Amino acid sequence: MARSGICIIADRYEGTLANYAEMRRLASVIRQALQSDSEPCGLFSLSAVLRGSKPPP
Amino acid sequence: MKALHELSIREAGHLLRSGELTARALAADALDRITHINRALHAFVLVTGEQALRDAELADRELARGVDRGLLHGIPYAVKDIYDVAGLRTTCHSRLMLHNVARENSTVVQKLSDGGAVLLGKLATHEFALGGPSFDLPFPPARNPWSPPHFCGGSSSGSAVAVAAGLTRVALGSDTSGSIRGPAFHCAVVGLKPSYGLVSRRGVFPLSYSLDHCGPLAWTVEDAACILQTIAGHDPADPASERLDAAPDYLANLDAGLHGLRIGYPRHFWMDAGCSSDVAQALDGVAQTFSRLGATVDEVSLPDFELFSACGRVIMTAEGYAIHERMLGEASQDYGRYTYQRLVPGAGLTAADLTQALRLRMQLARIVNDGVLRTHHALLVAVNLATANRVKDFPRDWSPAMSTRTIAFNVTGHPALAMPCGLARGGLPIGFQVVGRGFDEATLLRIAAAYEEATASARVRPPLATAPSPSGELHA
Repeated sequence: MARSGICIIADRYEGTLANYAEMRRLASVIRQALQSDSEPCGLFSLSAVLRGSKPPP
Repeated sequence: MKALHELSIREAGHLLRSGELTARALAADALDRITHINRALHAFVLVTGEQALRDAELADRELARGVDRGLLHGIPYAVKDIYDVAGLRTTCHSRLMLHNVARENSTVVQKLSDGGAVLLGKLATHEFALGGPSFDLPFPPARNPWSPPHFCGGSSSGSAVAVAAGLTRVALGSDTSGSIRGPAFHCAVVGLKPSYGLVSRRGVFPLSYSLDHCGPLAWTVEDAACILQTIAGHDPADPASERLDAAPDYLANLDAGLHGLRIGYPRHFWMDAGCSSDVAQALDGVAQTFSRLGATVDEVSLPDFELFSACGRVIMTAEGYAIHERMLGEASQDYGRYTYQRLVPGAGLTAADLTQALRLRMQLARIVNDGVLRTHHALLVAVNLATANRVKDFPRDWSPAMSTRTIAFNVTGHPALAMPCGLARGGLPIGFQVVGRGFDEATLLRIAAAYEEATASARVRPPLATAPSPSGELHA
């Protein structure tokens, strides 16, 4: 990487770090919301949920 | 008498078929407006003027000999510069992609081309549909036609600006966490994020495989319905594309009104987050209008917004990093500051982080789907907590503070339509979104059309958009 490239990346460091810290916080929020790790979950079954939409009674 | 750029798709179509208007005149008028107005707004990064006129002339010749390709025959449009158009570069508004010439049309562009629509050019975006309003990119950021110093929203910034300013009646955008609905809010246009899987994303540069949606921005609800009618449908080349029955007629029930509909109103979703009084009052006004028009509006609850936000942002950042990993390794200095700062944290997310986020996504989608969208036809929800900030007030480093309420429905995949409901005290637009059941865009369009018909504040236009075309007196 050219020296100017190194300077550009170094200059972005703190902002990147702050966003990384935010990602760690969000990952923690997610873990707190999930009450159990043992229940089954289809990770890619959004389609089934959306297609299962039913009209109000 | 309307100026040409004020004609709806159906009005223009009627005149094209009766011989009172040509597609060439329609395209030439749009190109004239772009020439004069775009220099202040930077909505277009590429104008395909000569090709547009040739395509328009072809559309005229076809109509003259009885070949009618449907609703969009001869209608001008433009696309966010992440959509591939054969022979044109797809820059994603990034220095990294300046020489990236597409070999094929994206599926959406191909459908519009097959439908006889006339491409005017490509539109500004935040870098890779992610970054922010930035001045360290190869093109300047698009400017809000209501007030150029103010943010126009993003990332489909050029799409909303071009439509609001009357440079094109319709444009295509993409929405991963609100990138169609946010700009629609700030520019006072209609923006539709369809259900996940309804519109193909093939040939559209991805940001997050699990959250990306393609959809239209338009001047009116009816125009948005016309575009959706043309671009919806299964595409085997997009693994997320749904195999549905034939698309419904999205125009059929636009005038059906609101009687018999139940609309949920999760007011806590924005009031708990410090929503501005302008926006809160505007939303309460929309709820009252829905009631007056015959809908039953009930206050309902959704899970805490932060859960949707955490889930969506972890998925988006992890997948965005996966998409950009190679380029970040080879040319990281060529990314804009904001984009770099938003992508690189993905390197620190673990497989477990992504897995848990995907699990939570399914739980949230089920809660919304089997809860409030089981008892109600749609939800009325805030798009943004406040009107636009000034671009110069954006921080030097990307700030994770989130004022939009849009990412929730990228997480759940439900369709969401944003539209204007007036102007705040400072003269900047305010809007709202209606969210519907999976693949029930027809009901969203019906609700939006009823509101638009009943309320002048849904039809606000910036002065630029109602001014005559700069170098002509073209009327129909």
